[in-house]
Amino acid sequence: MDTCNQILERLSQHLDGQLPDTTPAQLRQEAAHLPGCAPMLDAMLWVHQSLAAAPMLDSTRDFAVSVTKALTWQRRRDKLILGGTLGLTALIALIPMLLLLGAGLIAVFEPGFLSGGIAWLVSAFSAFASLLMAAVNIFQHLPQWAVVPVGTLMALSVLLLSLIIVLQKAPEQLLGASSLSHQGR
Amino acid sequence: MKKAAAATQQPERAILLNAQKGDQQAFAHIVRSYQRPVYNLCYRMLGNQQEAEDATQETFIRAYANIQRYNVDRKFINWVLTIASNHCVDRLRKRRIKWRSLEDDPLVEKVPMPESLDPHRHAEKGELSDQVQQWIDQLEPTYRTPLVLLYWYGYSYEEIAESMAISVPAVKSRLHRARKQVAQIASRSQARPSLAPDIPTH
Repeated sequence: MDTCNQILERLSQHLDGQLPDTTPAQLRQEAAHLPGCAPMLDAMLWVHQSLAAAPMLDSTRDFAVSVTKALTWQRRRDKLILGGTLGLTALIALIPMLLLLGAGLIAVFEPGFLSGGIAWLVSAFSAFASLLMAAVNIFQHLPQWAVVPVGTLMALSVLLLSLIIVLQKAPEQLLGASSLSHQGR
Repeated sequence: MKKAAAATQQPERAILLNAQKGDQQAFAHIVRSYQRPVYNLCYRMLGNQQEAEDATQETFIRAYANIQRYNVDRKFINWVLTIASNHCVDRLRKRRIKWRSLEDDPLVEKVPMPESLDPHRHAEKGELSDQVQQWIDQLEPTYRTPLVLLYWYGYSYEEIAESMAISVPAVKSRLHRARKQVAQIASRSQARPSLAPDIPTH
């Protein structure tokens, strides 16, 4: 003979259409032999009917408007954060570049101040600064999904440009520096 | 405006694809189509209008943020309701309330005899709705989700299992425990009703 819990479990399965041959009346008959079981069975049936009859609720609020507003605000906030981060990065990069540019200006009046290696480094940093500034401007107008691919593309371009400068200029500068040192001797 | 009108004429799949491309007008159309079921789920889970509205909005914001992960071949309603139920469970857990446990009341023999067992005899649907809500509010969060998905959305065991990321036997067990727990709560809150019982006996 089933316990009360087992009878109630069978009722649950019947309510979910799992035991089509079982009826609540049969289960109640079985429950009648167990103290306190029949009221619990009736209560479960009552709960089932109440839940099935409870209506779907609605709100008067138009969520499309509030969600669109929230998304617009989120996008602005994301752009602000992105712009701020890039701006700060540009500012940090600007300090050594200003120092290098200053060195370049001094070199105009003092021709021996910069050797060949430093000179092309100044040019490379200037190019990098221009790209960074352009990136800040571009990222502010990009949709969120495009930031990563465009950022990666730009970083690769900078890397490629740096490599070209190094490969083309460095040997020349190194040669120039070595010939200068030979002439000095 | 023209874009919004055009969105209403497109089939849902096309609207969803546009939303995946970042079209906010298309997404706004989706929000309007599904705001009622999402709000109902949030209200039934949280039992509070203001919190349900906030949870509904948050659900759609999360849906938009993750729309690239949505597979358009699946039902959007199932996907968005999964987001909603997970979010509501998180909110309920943050409340840090000690929920009633079946283990606190293991003896069904203690349940008093309910004399009126006919929900259709409630004066109005609103009264029934409030009564049902009071019962659900006392349930543990993990029991609320299967109950709400079954009774208001007609989910199968398999659909509930997929939505909650649990097994089908676990769904059956939780549904049974939820019904039993609600029956105990309902029986206790029933104050000697005067209406006659009308339970199917066949």
